[in-house]
Amino acid sequence: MTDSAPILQFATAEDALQSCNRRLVDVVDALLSQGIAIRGELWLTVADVDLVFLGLDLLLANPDRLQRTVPDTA
Amino acid sequence: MIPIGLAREGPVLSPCCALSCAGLHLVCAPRAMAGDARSRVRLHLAAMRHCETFLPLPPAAVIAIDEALAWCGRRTNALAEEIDRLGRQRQLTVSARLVAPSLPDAAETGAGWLRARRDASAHRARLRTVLTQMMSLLGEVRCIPGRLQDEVQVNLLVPAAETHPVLHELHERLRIGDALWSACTVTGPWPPYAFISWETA
Repeated sequence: MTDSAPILQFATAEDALQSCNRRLVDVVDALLSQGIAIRGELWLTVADVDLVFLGLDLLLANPDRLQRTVPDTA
Repeated sequence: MIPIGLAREGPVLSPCCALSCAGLHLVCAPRAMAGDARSRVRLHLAAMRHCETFLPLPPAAVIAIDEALAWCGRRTNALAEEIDRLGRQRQLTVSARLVAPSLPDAAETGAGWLRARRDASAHRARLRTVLTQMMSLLGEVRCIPGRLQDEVQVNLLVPAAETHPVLHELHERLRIGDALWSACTVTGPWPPYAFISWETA
């Protein structure tokens, strides 16, 4: 717990838009909070013959976010 | 031009224009003025003040005009109902940051770190419940995950005409403070972004 009193601020929508300066760590934090889905496909082909397919599905997110998003199937 | 929202009728702020479709107005803005999400939010705020039935499309969405017109044609009734439901409503957003957790010596270990995360998650849930109860007496409430991990965001839907009294009431309730949060920011009035449910099918 902190000893300092809670800070309460009110801002108009325009002021909130203006004061959106973020550090990089905040941006990464926000991305993880919302979740990131990355899908990629790589085909290795020689002389029109498909040799290797590499598929990638990557979901990166805060577990709390996933628990709220995935519907309850029970 | 880029579609930025829908309206029943009414004047459109220059240099935006309105394309009529099945009785609705598809409000469009010049591409140069609506190139990014923040610019579109600024346009939404201006349009909201200018036309009381205006409802914005999601700020991050960029939709082609022909697709938007086809969508309006397919979903006219549902879209009109959404405009009627929310067109004169505003959103106030309360973002509260958790009190920094006290980290015992055990936090230096893996188990301590896990316990700290578990405690923070429980703390966030408590904060969400407290804010929701506090605000639900003032209007419809919807929670969404905060932008940051240690933040809780609660959105309040209020009639446009009651925005200022509700802001005053919020100030009275929140200024008392609570041991649960270290900082609390109230922003708005916004268009009711968190409450709009556009039929996209």
